Amino acid sequence: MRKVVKYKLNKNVKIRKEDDDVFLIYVPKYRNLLITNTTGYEIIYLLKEGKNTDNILSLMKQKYKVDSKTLENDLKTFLKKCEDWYIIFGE
Amino acid sequence: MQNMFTPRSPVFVNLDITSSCNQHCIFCAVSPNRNYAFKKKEEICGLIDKLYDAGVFEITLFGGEPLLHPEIEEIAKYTNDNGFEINLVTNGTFPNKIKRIAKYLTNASVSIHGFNATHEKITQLQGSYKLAIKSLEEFIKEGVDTAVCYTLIKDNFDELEPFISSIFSNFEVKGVVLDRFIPRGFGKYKKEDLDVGIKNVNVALRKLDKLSRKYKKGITTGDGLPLCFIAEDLRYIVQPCQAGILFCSVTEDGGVKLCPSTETIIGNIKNISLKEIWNGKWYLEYRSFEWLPEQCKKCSLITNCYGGCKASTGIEPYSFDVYLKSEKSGKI
Repeated sequence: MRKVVKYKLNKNVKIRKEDDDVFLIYVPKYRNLLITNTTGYEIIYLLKEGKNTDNILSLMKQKYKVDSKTLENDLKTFLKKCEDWYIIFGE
Repeated sequence: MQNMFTPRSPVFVNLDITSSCNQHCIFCAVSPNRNYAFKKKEEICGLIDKLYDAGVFEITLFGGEPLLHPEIEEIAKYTNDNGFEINLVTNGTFPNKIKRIAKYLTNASVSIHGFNATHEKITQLQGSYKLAIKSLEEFIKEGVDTAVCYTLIKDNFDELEPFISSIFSNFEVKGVVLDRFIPRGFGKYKKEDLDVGIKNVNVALRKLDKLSRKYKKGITTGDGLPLCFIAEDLRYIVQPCQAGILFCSVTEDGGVKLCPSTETIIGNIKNISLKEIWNGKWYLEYRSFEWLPEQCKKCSLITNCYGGCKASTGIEPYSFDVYLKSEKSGKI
């Protein structure tokens, strides 16, 4: 069974739209700078709204025509990176 | 050269809110004055507005000595109200001002360069050690993430280990920032007297690595270093020089510089937007890194190193690291 995780966004994170499909996500305390695309930004936005991984996956499935397995893996990889960079914390 | 991402405007900026300082540190690369002529807060806040327009995330209040500014509290509040993260770099001689500004700060760095006698020999200000220690205590008491900045020179090389050990065991600091000697400003003609050399920088990093593990505290460098001269297992400590990549320095007059240690004014944000300066010819030429030696251009470490400290030779406007010029023997 898939584990549903809820993450909390680091309240100090700063986000800047850089270009059409480029967003900067910055963690001041560690000076970590993540460069991401619109999808990455959307995920961060959904986490900010309090959505859990299941909510995010179902929203992404509606929006993107990608198979579930790929979507799940991509989300997992992205969230792991965000966690490693102190952008989000698992609850 | 590998492709590297550069944002359209700096992510963090050093803002020199004053060019005056009450200390006269023998190595100081900035060479502040003792004019004590300060820009009005409205002028400084005008610069902060320009940084806001450029999308800057974080401002380091710098100098000179930023706490000398009579309107530091208002400036810090304004910076904070505009959503910036604020770092403060101070010599720690104004502990009484800390309580009033602490709530606006994200981080503070207090420069302390050894125990009492060594520190005061370096700062040339009697009583500065006690005040700096008091400031350290104040920042910590006020809940600000605080680090000690230690500029490594021949005078304090032997004291590094016992001093940092004493700081780590007696204060709830987050860590230590090790700065290197840069032969500019007051230190311009003192390279022979003050610079410990790259081998001893490695020795110092090794000591800090040991202390960091023992006390579970953070360690980093304040200036770039050529990574090929740093032992592989110590490279994690070295913060790459991000001047011109993620960061720039702005003077109290609005002049944009590559970093606090360089003198060349690239443009002025009072006349032209920071974004335009940042994406202008000067910076594009700099970011081509064509001026780096061939060994750097081919090096796999380049995007974590960028050729070390660009201010370290003293050549304006920039050059690759002085150790790359002087230590021909090569890699460690």
